[in-house]
Amino acid sequence: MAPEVLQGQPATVPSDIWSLGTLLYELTTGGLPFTGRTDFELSSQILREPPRALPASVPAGRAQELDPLSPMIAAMAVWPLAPLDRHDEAIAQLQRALQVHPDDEVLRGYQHQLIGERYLRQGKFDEAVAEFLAGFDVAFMTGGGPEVMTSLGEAYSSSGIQGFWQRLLDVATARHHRDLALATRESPGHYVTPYKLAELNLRLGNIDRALALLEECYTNRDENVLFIKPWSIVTPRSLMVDGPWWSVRSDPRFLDLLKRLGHP
Amino acid sequence: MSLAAGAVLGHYETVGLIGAGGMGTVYRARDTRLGRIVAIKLVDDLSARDLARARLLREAQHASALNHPNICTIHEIAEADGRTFIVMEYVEGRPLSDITRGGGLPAERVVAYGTQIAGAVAHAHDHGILHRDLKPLNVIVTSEGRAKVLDFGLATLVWHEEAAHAPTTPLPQSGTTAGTIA
Repeated sequence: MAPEVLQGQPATVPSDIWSLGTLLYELTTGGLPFTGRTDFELSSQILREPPRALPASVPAGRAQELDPLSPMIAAMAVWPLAPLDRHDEAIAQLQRALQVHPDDEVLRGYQHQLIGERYLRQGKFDEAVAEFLAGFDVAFMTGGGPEVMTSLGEAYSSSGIQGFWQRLLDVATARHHRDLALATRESPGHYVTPYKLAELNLRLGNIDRALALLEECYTNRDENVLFIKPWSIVTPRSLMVDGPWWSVRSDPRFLDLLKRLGHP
Repeated sequence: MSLAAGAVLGHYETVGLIGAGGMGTVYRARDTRLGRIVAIKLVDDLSARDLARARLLREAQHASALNHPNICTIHEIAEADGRTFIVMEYVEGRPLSDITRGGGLPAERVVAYGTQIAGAVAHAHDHGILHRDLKPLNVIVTSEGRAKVLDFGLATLVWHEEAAHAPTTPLPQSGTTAGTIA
């Protein structure tokens, strides 16, 4: 039973995913990732200790995949919390995962993003920018999902948040050009792809630039183009907020691109 | 409170005991109208309490909307002789907890079962239903290797009941403990 449920909070999607991770551990090893002879011992382990690493008999590659606190599973588990404005909880959970995987770039980047989002909601834009930029240094994060934008509501159109996006875009653009010039992409996580730039431009209402970047993605057919799903940029959910990207939906260039990507 | 073989509950007739635990007693039963074998879960301790029964009904109704090859189907929630019970698909197989008792499984089987169970959980989450007590004991593996997850959404009931009574009543040691620790 997930730590937050043991503490008497209601079960959530992440608590089921916690149990799924534990179940996979049991299938792999035949035992639990926590020790304890009594229920009391077991629950205090779950609340206070990181899960046991998989035994050496499990092959290394698989051990990483199935680790219940693997970076991937940890990030997936907290992902639904942010839209519910449960940033404190998400940040605390990621912190536990970071204790086990202190060098994981995605976890660290995501942690910066969540802290940044919390600042955004408090209207502390300078602090938010600093967190997002710190996140850039470990792994590129576009930052601020549509749900966050929704919760910002009226604050969305404030000059503060526009300045926030503009500063992120400036840094990302500089990164993008630097990476192109170096012709080395340290890791896919770091590389500021045209797609990510397109997303940022869209948020700022730079529709022409965003569409040009999406065309670049399409023409280059680099690895990222395979994952382009334009509705992930302009999801119905993000459209709940009357943002500057609104008009892209009916833009003939965008509709044409959708058609070429095979999305009617 | 348990039923003897041949006991009649509405148009169901018990033919054997499957097990006690989780949140009640589970019987193998024959649906005398449709002539098929089903599993019946009788939630003895809760049937008497109206609030608990209302919750049970609501949860089971939600969970009965799930239709997935890796989720044990709930056929109906029925009442007879003042008892509320859940009628569900009878799945012939072994609980996953039996299969892992001898130690970890080979990687292929971990992946085979893991993807089926994850698929079941994803389907339920898409329909707004949590499992709340996912563990190997709640997964039955059939002889063809299909994993079936049992008791979606049901575990919460007893857990909440226990929590509500915690200050005055010690937790029962067996039988009704649905929310297990791990």
